[in-house]
Amino acid sequence: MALENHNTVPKINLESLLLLKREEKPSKEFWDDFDRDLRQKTLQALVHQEPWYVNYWQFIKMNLYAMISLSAAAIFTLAFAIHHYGWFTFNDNKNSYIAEVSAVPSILEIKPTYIDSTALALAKNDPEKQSHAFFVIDNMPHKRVRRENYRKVMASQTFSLAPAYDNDPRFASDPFNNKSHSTPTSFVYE
Amino acid sequence: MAFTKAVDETLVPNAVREQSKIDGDLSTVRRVQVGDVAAFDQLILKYRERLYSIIYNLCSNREDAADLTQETFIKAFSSIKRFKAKSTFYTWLYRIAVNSTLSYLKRNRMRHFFSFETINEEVSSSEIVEALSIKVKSEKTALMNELQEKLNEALQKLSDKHRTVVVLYEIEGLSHQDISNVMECSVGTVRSRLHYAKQQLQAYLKDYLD
Repeated sequence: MALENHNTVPKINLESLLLLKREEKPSKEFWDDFDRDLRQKTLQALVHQEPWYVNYWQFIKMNLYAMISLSAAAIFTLAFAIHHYGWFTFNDNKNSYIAEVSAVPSILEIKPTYIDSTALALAKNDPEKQSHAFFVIDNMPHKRVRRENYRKVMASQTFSLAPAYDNDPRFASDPFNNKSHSTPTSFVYE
Repeated sequence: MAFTKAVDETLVPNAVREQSKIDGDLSTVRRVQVGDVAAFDQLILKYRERLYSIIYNLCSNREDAADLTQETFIKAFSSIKRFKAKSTFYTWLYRIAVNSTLSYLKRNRMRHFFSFETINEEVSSSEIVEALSIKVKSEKTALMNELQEKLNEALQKLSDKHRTVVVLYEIEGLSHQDISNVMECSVGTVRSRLHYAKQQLQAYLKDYLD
């Protein structure tokens, strides 16, 4: 509804005009309906079980900062460990040796410089003359003085001890390269 | 101008009255938190008109305002155990209302409603209504409608955040500090938004203002 002449409108300031909005109030009937609807919705909300993902999301939102902090700490620790120790070299167990070897795929020929004495004993007692062993192929210095140097090894699932023919060199078979190698003199099988 | 002075006097006692009721809210909230569901009805009765007014002046639609007010109370009821009294209860409640309404407006950006409430001229205490009462009855209604229409159009042209500041400060009478708590921004930002919004409104309504 537009007026033809704005001069008929009394001039007022903006703040006063905005106060006009306070006068826009609903009727009593409106509030009766409002209360009835709200009561119904509140009851529905009371019996409504929220789906699991709502609770899950709320949990994440409530613990967001803690989760971010923990994740950052974990990433930092992991990055530091990798940088300082290198992958999979935290200790001297067999798995670390195997992983070390797998990172050196360019080895073409391996001469066993050492065969674990325990494996040798087992092989001797084995009717098929086979047992597990490690082929030591190199020594690798380590940054930390107080730790032993690492041995670069190739793990063999089995090694076979050849029968002791007259004048034949003792040798062990290398299943990785399908080759046989002369063995060190310390290796004797009778 | 006597008219402006009367408006200022209307605003200040309103804020003081609000402050004096804050302590009572906390004890009611504590009762709800320990399972006294009926106590929440007291909070609804106390705040429903003010919440409705805020939401209605933000979204300019009666039905949506009613739904959003109800939604605000239900959200508040559902999460009242998480209310730690770091802010006043009504600030917390207003924040839920404002956030719900602004989210709703974002989702319904293309919708514009102008089903405004009609001012009851007989019981209204507004200075404007009194000023208009010098006119004859039919002309007064026409003037009132036009003023309402122009004001609402001008408010709708403001951004959501600027409109929120105007509604909370000029219409609801909240302090700058309370608005900064509700909107989670600094007092400086509130002042800046208010200044800019009033400049915009002045420009839109220049034909009707001093």
